[in-house]
Amino acid sequence: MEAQRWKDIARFALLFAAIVAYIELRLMPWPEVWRAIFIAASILFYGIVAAVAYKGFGDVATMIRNMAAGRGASETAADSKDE
Amino acid sequence: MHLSWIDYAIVLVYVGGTIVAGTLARGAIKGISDFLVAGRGLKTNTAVATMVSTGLGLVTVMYMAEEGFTYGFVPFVFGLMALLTTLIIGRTGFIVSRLRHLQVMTVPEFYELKYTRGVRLLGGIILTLAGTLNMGLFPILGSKFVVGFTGLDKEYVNYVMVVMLLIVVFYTLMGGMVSVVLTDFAQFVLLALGFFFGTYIILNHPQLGWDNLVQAVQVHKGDVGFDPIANPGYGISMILFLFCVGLVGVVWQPEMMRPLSAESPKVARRVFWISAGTVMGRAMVPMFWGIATLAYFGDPGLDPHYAMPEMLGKILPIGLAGLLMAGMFAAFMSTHDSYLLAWSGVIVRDVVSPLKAMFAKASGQRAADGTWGGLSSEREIYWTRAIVVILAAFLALFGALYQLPETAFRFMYVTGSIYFSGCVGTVVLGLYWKKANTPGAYCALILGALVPLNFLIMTENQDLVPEFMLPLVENSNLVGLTSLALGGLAMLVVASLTQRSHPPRPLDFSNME
Repeated sequence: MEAQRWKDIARFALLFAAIVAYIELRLMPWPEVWRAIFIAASILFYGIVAAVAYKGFGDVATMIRNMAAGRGASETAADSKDE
Repeated sequence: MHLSWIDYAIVLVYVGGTIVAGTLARGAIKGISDFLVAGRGLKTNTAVATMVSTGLGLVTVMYMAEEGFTYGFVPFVFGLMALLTTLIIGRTGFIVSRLRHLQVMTVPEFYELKYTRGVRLLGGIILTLAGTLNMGLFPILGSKFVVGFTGLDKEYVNYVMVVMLLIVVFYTLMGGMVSVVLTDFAQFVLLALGFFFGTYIILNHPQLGWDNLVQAVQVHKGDVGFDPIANPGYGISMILFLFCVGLVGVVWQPEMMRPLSAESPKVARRVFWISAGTVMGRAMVPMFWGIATLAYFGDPGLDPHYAMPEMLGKILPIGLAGLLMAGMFAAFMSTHDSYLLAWSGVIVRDVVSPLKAMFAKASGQRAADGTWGGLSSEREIYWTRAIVVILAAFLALFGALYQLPETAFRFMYVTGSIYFSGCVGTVVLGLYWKKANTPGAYCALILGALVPLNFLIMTENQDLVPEFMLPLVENSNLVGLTSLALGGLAMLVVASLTQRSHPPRPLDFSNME
């Protein structure tokens, strides 16, 4: 229940931020609009790449270990589902 | 030559590592599902990394840069549409969750589950045609980047293309999807580093920087270089087309292989939700490089395929140039390996194997190893490997001989439409409309493919086209939208009329995650 309340608040905040951003963008000249969007796109891109690379490293290391042990990809997948 | 031996050493280390990974992965291949979908064991982060790498090939960098060079800041709207559609898919699981739940390895395989083996065969043929045509420009554009970046003579472009293709074919043959995943992960990181340093140098270069880029677009393109609605090459029709294609384009086999390789429908959905954050950057950074090329050379008449890498080669310092080159080489490989594997998988599983099953009069039931009564699992791997080699040879020939009618970006979208226009009717309605049936699927596939095929053939023979049909030959935006609408309408109309003679096959999604 409590978690749902926080989710609703986050959704409302996101909607509010989107409306503010839309109004701001409409008032800006085009070059400024594209600049803002480009900065946002870059932050999102590099942020997600860094997070995924950090978290995915362990999975890749496991894959390489399994390959070195001569285990098939399907066998490994079945094991990880059983865990 | 713009590069030093340090730059070449960085590239060689990377390529050597890739070949070792490919050789290692051979041990993990025990059956066709290992080879094509990595045993369906991909976890979220690995799946995201490999999906981003596939979507961000060197060819993507080249044609996105060409769009920026040709249309200024307007193509940024593509990034926005891609963000919107990927978020929708990630949130709702549109198409992705249901296909993953059905445990298919290729999209046409769904046609056999929902419709008939004949529809699967036709879908496989159309997908093969669209896929190989679409991929036709990949190697030559990649090679043009290397030639432009290193400052090699342009006469070497075909030789460079063949060498790059040989490397990709080698490690794809070895480990299939497993080696694709492994190398994609390294490529994902390298690519991001290349993007970061390339953009950083452009922003801080005395001749470039954001303000100089804006000024260059204003001088060479005017206001239509900023306003997507007013730009005659874009406008509402292109924006609408990009949105529709963003939603339906998920059925594109190389993209769909990641969610289909994920360990569950829930992971498949999450992969899209997370990778949504990268789609804008993937499009906008190369477009930004294209605009920087315009600002750097100040000549809109240049060939951006050579000019953009040449600019990067000139402005990047030693070491960073090698890193970017390795990143772009990685981008070349990550797309080629996935596409080669995807299309050869479709040819074997959806054309060759069903034909064999038809002649052998095998039952249309799926076996435990994922085969359908045609070729055995081992023979499917054998033929998939053989087709990878044949496709690579075709690509080398096509790249050397074909001349583009429009920009590379539009060529990609029109050739892609040959297939995914039919998918509006066959896959989208097949998954979400209970009345979708076999005659509707045949009509959707054929009508959806007709308009883009007409465009590709008739642009070469415009004198023969009657006047009322000229818009369908001159305007690629209209071609895309018309074919999407035709594909959907064909299924709706024909299936509604043939419900009694061809009752639809039901699909069960009741226990889907």
